[in-house]
Amino acid sequence: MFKNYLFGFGGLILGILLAVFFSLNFSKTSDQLYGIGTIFNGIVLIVIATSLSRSQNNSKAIKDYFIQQLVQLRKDYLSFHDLLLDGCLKKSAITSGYKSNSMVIQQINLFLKKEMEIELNIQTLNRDCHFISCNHEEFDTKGNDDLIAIDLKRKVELEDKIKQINYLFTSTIISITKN
Amino acid sequence: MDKVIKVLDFSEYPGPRYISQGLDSGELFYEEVLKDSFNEAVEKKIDIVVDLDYTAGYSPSFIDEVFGNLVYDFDWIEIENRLKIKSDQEPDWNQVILEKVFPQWRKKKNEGHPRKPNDL
Repeated sequence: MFKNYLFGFGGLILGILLAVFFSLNFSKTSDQLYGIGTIFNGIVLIVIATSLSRSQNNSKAIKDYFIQQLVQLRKDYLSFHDLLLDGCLKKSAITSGYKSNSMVIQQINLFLKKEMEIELNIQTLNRDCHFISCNHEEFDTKGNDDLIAIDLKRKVELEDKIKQINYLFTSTIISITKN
Repeated sequence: MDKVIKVLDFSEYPGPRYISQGLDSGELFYEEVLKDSFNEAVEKKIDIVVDLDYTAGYSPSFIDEVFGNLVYDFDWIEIENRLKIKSDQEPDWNQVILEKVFPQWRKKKNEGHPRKPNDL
């Protein structure tokens, strides 16, 4: 929409500049100088219109990229915890799963901060989930290939944290859209 | 020059909290690696870097046992001044250890509790 307005406005100005240009009498030095000025202004206008439109396209592409990344991360994060809550994950998969979640969150956060000055503040909650799932004797005494069942008390705590994380995912996506 | 200890050299799959609970535990890492190295660092007046990167991931109890035990064996000032934690892959471990693990273990020590439950 903005792009169309920009091109329309640019075209109008360019048209006026061309009309002025052709009405000039080039035998006069002042008209020659004016003509050069008109050409220069026209070129500057085209360059500005093109670069503005390009930067707008780039910023939309960056937004789309981050939104896509966050949607995918949320999907992976929730399905990891669905499996965890259902007792379908082995001890080793839980430990490595939390590590890879942390790393992905950290990476996305780094670039979100750099490119859009937005933060995805879920790492503390993610670590809380890690502690709730793994920081107890029952987890420690299991072997790496054993499936881990989550008791009711921990399930409730985990579900509460996951709800908060899901909310933060959504609010971060909205912030990107508004940025 | 700093002394650097890599957990990966101990195990790619760091285990549970206590030796009695399974392989490559936090207690074993503390007793066999960190305690002596920290002693050496204190004697030589150098810093010690514990590198947490490139393992397959940690259970929080491993981390808790490894760093918490330092509180019972060394002066807090030595821990504060000499210990550096390197965790580029999961930088928040540094914060967890400083803000969660150490305060809990210091409280436990100050209240006169043993470092380990008697039945383990």
